[in-house]
Amino acid sequence: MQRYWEAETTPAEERDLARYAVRTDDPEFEQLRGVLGYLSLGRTRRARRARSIRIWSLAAVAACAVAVLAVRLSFPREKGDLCIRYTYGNPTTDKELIMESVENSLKEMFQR
Amino acid sequence: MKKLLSSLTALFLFAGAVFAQRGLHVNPVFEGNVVPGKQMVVTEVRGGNLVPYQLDHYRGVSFQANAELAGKVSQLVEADAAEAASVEAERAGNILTYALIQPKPSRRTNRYICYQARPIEDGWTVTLLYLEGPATLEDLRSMFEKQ
Repeated sequence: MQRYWEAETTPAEERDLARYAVRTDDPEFEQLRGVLGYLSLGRTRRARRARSIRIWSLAAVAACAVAVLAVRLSFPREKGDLCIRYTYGNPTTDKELIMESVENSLKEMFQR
Repeated sequence: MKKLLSSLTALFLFAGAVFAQRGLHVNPVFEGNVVPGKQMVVTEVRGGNLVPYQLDHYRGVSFQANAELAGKVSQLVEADAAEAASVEAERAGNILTYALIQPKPSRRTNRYICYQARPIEDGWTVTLLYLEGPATLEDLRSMFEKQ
């Protein structure tokens, strides 16, 4: 125990010492039990904080996912059909006429 | 909150439609900023009608141009060609008469700019197309070779 107070113990020795201190009723180990209890409390708090951060991060990601999904469902992206032609400013929506000219222009560009 | 969501969604949808064609030098031609809209034949097709061609979007403009205007448009085409993934071009002397340009894909969609200038009595008839969709160059070629 003397080596522990002088910080000369190895982590393995400290673990053995802690196990022994918990089991024994020896009053000499009372102070050591106090210190070990404090350290244990610190570890618990750190673990709780880390768990809390993880939970909040997951909650934030889930909230974002739900928000994106809600927006997508509320406003589905419409890939609406469009077929229009302006001949010198005059519009027409005659699908057959327009698609015929589309076909012809594609032929001119790719059938070479 | 609902208004905010609506505004944001509208913004995203508009941006999505514009993004694929953004950054192309020929855009001003399609927007009527080089040749006024009333002097062009403008065609736009989107959606189901293009399924047989494996395309999602077709934009085409055709107009008559004098040598100066044709030169201006061909310069824009050449600027896109300089940044493209692939280019095929034909010239008559110094004049660009045909170009098939494949700009770098945008959002995993193939894009094509097709340009053709045909001589007429007092200038050129210029046709410029912007195509977008899953069709590869080979798909488009084989599609029209068969017909």
